[in-house]
Amino acid sequence: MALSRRDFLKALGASGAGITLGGNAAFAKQDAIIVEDPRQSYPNTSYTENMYRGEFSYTYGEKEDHGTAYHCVNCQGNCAWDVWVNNGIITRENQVANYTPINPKIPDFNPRGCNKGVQHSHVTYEKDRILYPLKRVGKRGEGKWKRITWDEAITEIAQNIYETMLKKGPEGLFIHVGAGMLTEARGAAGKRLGTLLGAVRNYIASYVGDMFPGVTVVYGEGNIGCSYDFFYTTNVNIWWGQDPNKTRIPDAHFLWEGRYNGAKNIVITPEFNSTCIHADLWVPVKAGYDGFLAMAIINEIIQKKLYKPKFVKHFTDLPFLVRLDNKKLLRLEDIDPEKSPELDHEVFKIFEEKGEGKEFEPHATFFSWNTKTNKLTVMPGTEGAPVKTLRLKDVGWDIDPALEGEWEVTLKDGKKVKVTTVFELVKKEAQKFAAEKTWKLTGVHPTIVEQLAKEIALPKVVMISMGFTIGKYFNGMLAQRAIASIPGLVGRLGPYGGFNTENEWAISGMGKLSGFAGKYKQRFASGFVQEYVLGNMLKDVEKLYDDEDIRRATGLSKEEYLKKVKEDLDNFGNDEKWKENFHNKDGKPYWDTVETFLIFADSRFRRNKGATYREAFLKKAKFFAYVDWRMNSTAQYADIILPAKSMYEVWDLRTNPGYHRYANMAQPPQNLKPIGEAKSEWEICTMIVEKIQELAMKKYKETGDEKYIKIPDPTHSKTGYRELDKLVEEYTKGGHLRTDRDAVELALESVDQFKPNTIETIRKRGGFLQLNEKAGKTSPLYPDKPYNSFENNLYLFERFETLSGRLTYYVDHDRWIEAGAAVPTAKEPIRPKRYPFVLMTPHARWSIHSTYKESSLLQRLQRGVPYIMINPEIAEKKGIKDGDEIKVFNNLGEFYAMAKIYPSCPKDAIIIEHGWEPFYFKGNISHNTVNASPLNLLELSDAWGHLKFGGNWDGNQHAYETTVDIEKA
Amino acid sequence: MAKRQLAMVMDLNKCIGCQTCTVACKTQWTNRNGREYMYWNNVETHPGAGYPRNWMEAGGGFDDQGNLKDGIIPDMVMDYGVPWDYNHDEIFNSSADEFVLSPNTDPVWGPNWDEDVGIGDWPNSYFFYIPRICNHCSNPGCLAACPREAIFKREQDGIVLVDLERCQGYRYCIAGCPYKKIYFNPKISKSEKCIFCFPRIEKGLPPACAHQCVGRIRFVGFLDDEESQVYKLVHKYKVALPLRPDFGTQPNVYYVPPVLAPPKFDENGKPIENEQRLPMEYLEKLFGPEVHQAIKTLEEEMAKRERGEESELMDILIAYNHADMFRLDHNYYEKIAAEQGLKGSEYFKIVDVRYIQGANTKKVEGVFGKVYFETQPALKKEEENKEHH
Repeated sequence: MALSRRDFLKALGASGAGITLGGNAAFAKQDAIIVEDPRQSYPNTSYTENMYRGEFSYTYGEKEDHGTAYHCVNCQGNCAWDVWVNNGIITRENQVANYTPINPKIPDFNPRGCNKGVQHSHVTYEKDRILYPLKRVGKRGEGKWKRITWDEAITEIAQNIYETMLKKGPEGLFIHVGAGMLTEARGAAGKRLGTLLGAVRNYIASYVGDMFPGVTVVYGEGNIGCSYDFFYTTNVNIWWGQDPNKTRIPDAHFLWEGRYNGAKNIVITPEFNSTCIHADLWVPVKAGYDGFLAMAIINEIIQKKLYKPKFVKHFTDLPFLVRLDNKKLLRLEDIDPEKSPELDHEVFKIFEEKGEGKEFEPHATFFSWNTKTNKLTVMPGTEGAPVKTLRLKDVGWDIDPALEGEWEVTLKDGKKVKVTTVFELVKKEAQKFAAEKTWKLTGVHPTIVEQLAKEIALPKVVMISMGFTIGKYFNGMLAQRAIASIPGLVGRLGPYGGFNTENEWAISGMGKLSGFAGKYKQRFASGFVQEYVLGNMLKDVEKLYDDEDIRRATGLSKEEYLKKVKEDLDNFGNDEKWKENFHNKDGKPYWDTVETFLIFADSRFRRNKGATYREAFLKKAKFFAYVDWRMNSTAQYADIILPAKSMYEVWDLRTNPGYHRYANMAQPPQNLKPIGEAKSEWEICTMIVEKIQELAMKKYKETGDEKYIKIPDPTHSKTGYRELDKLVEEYTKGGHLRTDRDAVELALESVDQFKPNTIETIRKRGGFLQLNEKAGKTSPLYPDKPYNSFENNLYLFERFETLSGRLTYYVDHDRWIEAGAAVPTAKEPIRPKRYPFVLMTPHARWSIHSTYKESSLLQRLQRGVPYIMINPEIAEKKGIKDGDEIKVFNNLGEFYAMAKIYPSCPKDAIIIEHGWEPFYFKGNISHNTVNASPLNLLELSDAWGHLKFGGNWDGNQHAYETTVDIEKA
Repeated sequence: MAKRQLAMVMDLNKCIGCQTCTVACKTQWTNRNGREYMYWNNVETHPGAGYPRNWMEAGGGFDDQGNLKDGIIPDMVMDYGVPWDYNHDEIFNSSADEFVLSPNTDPVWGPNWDEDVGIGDWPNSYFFYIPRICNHCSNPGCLAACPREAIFKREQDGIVLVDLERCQGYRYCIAGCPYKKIYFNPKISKSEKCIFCFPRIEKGLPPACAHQCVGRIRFVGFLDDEESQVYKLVHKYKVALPLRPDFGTQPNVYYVPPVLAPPKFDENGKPIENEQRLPMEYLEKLFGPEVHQAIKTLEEEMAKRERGEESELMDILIAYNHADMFRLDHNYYEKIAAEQGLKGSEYFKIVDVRYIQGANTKKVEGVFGKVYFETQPALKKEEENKEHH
């Protein structure tokens, strides 16, 4: 029966009962309170109100006790939080929301944060928290642990490190801070320890597959772009292989505020993701065909003459001349500058004069054909030219290089060769990918390619952002490069937009924390190669890919491909080979010499692809100590586990990446009760050096033999030794750098861009500082304008850090020419065709890699167990219903997960968000089991111009190159 | 009617479905004491079953005659979802080969079970997000349904609360609320619900869901404050609409409806001009017939901005300064506290001065005749009081 409140009262009135007592008299326990109309007023509000007020006061605690923090994981968000605490217990966190607006007409950065950071207080006290030092007493992975004291644990670690140093030298050590701690002050503890001891470590971005090597090819560096408020000021934003609504949560508001301000958002992804939902255009590209689409756009831009000739001539290598006989760039070493009949000798001479003492480097000096003089003309600004500006017109020279044409040039030996421009070759290559031809492969209709070309070329400010998924394909490096090649054609740098991966600020002086003023060098290993070798990942590659797959993706037979990979690997490994071959041969250093492992915050058994990694690693590891604040699938197999402090318990500082212009400081709440026996990494590392020194000194005193305190290291120590009697003095800078707080203070003193700031001023503001104007790398950081890279290049004609000094479209490394990749191009995915679905594993909304995947609060907002998204039509064909357990398999293995019917999933793919620890799955077997990560020969190449192993030129571990089938379990 | 009414406006074009609000609310109020399964704030994917499952079909609210309609109490397992826990501790004493981190009950439904699912088929599927809190209705279904008169609207700001002293846990309110935003707490046998974070507001902090919303979609203020964004969005521009106005409860939470969606594709993959990916019928079902005008206004104002013209509406929705999204009128609450004899108590001690302006904030004239708010009025008063003593 439906009865309104009014009717109910009326009914009571009619019966003549209870009217004076109100409608509730019949239910009252004690004295009835008369309530006339609770919509208007209520007599008894304070009981309820005071209860909730009391609860709030409890969670809030006292302002003076609050800490400040950010979440130093690999999300790169870097958001300032106020940590609430009561009675020494962290109750919750609330954004500080106090970042200073830079301009009243541009939205501010408040209140940065996300669904994961907002519950760190919860996981801080979760039952998987490591509370005490633990020693393995069963077999590795057997789950039998003994609680030991800190001294016992540190002694065992120090002993193992010391013994390894004595027996194998520093190259036997692997000391590494992983992606769980990407922070400047805190992460420096383990790095400093590794540097001091000469240990090996490897590149994080490479092994997680989040590198941008293809961008380095073009721009000379991978991490470029803008602060996120820039997206508010653009006309068009392209989000390529990216889902900022999910993976850039703190910054996503700038997209939609930008939309209200008149900017278009265009998303290019295979699945209709959470950013697509409000986009102006979504481009459903087929998984792995992004490079083909980029080449189609390049073709459209060239054919429709949408490129900007004047810009291209100044800022790209497109007018550079290429020899048609061997496809090599025409270099100064090819001709005789004295005798060459084609050369503009005048310009050549002026360059020599203006070179301020610098001379031509014949191998790195290049030419164009000057239409003003009709002569072969040396180009300024290249690595080998004495004149470093990119200006084409200056006192003494006036170059208008031809973009199109063919000429004859006389070589040193008098032979004549034909040359053409890079532009001609790019144009020719792009034609192969014309929209009409590639439509069936990319799934993108030619009208969309036409539209994209216009949207990119015509408006005033256009920004192309590229996500991490692109690099996770086998030929993703080429796709990255093709996409990154687009904005240079249409004149986009600095204020006109351009290309965005992840901006990085210049932070000078932070090296004091992890380094020793150049006295000691790190042993850097390539991320993707070292993991491949350590984990014997070749085995899965051989198993998953057949000859046809490899031919399709590389143009080589399986046999040829594997032979070449082996050759590259053979160039490196131990210290001797490293010395001889570094930048002389293809391949990357990987140090298979390591045997004693000390690893911080790096769940590598979760992360690595394939089924072989863990077993191979453990076989290699004579000793394996692991430091983290929670148990994970890597800690499960360690010999010693140390309990680290978590993010609200430490002092820390973080600046990069440059999504915003603030550096955040973590400061533990006052009077915080210790959580177990957790210690900060700085304290842990200080204890380790103290113990190593103690052990070494003891041995030295016993024997009188210097070899026990002087470990030879001719390649990575300036003194030729690692001096163990000075460890503590050196590590702690004479006692000044022992704790996490010391590290923060040193960073504040040392880093120019932080000035003027102290712990007190930062705390007052709410746990952050604003970087000063020196933080801009390639543009000024204006006080009132968003940042974007390369303004200095555009306006001051500064050269880029590339071989050509310009945006680079031509790589004449032999291997690249051989692979047909001298100019931007695209190649097919390597994934096997014998299974119907690509396995896509994008970054998740609910975790940062594996961090926070175990949170019960967050799991309740998902499905509680790993789930796989499947297109409804596919599910129906396979007889799978939502919620069913399904088996996912190929010839590498199988794993089980819950099916989620997902209309936005393409029909040729299934999606499982990445980051699930193996122990979430039946049999401890995760989605990585069906995956293999083959090495790409172009990513292994080295020793060409700016493509030399380092932070900008490593490769990626791939994740999107497997196919699977599914069935109901 | 309460004397004044606090309101919230949520802009669905800016909502990114990140659930930071949900978790902020959870750690503020519902991670304890029998509230674990409750989501005073949830974000649901639409079209979809929502949370609790199929709440739109679960009755309650009023018919055209103003009569309360029958409703049901959702099922804990199938509609709300059991808040499962994990065997986290077992990782320390289990063999890695055998240990499986797993929920202590088989998950079959949860508050975000159909996250991002929506409807349609690739490449023409669609979905969007709707965050939901208690609507703090002017004519609350829960209040009408309570046989004990244990639910009331605060006189000073219209926040709807359950009198926890008086509530006996009969649960008529749950059936009566058409939004199913009032919950039974099995631990204390009483109903509980979103309280619009009044203890935060009284101390100068916006509600957790709004303050911590990183999409910056939520505006909070009094509806009678003509300078507040909520007033302007609801009354001046009429672009903020209540969810399911047909339920008859007169919500005080309003939504800027979604107007942004990419074009659909024909069978060749060519974008189709002039066909909406988001069907208007669905939006009309959610937001009533006013949605047509609201979308028209939004589109017109967006077009202005694309032409480089000024638009106050766009300025408001962009929200340049996060702090400006909230007008909590602390001076007004101080007055109430004085009337209730609570002035100077811990409960009204201001913890943040950034959001406390409002209709009762004194203004001072600046040098160019521009009127400014007197900053930090409450603090100043406190200091004055101290000086008196």
